[in-house]
Amino acid sequence: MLLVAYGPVLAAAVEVVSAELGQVPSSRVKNTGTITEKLRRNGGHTLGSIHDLGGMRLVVIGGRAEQNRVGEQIRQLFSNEDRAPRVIDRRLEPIQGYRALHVIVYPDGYPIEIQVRTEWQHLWAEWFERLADQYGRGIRYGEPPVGGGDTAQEMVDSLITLADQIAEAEESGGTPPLNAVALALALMVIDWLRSRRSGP
Amino acid sequence: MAHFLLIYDRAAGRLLLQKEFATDAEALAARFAAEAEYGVQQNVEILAISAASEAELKRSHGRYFLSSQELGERLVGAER
Repeated sequence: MLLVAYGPVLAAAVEVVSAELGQVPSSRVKNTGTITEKLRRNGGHTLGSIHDLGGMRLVVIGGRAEQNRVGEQIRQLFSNEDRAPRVIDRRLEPIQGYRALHVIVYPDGYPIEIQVRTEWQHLWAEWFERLADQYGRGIRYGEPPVGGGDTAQEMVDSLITLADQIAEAEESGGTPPLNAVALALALMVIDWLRSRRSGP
Repeated sequence: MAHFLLIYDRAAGRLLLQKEFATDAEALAARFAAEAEYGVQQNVEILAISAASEAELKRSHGRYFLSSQELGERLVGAER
């Protein structure tokens, strides 16, 4: 079974990355529900064409400069495999605000996606993913929220604007805390969530 | 390294199960057993995941452990 075969390959790749970077990434073999969802969303794709059946995540401190450095280090680590690593720069092509550097590596021919995120990108992505749990995973692809009405759509739009603000700050070398505009957007969404929790 | 099985209810935003295993292979086997038990449901996420520690897991995959409000507050409070 393909997913079982991934386990040892992924574990070995985690060891390689940890030894080189001195930081242990979290790792997982993609779960069946999200594989099914991905196949459904991207009609025509096959299991073999999904490049994140095995995945790792690294959150780096030090903004985009460190993100670039770590991404390049990972690319070089796996450059001797039969298939060369592939870099997907989601900072240049964000999806609904999601930004990160993804390096797809192919140890023993198995694709593994290594997500390299700055701290800001990561904290934003986790927040947005959590809202996608509540309002439908389709919001990650531009679909309207399920439930929550206009306010939920405004909240999604605000978070995407927040991601743009974060990107702008990071491009100019910024690191946390948030600038005034981004902070105001984040606090607005938090207030909305708080009122929703304490509401009728 | 720490290896976990997580069963998460997306709609409720609640972790239904968190169990630690000695190896990634054991966690993966437990995941397959849980998938057989629950079936593939859109709102229930079943995953085997490894991290340096439980604290690191909560840092890298906070959405399984924190509410949306808490995740927003975590972003606002980020200081380096």
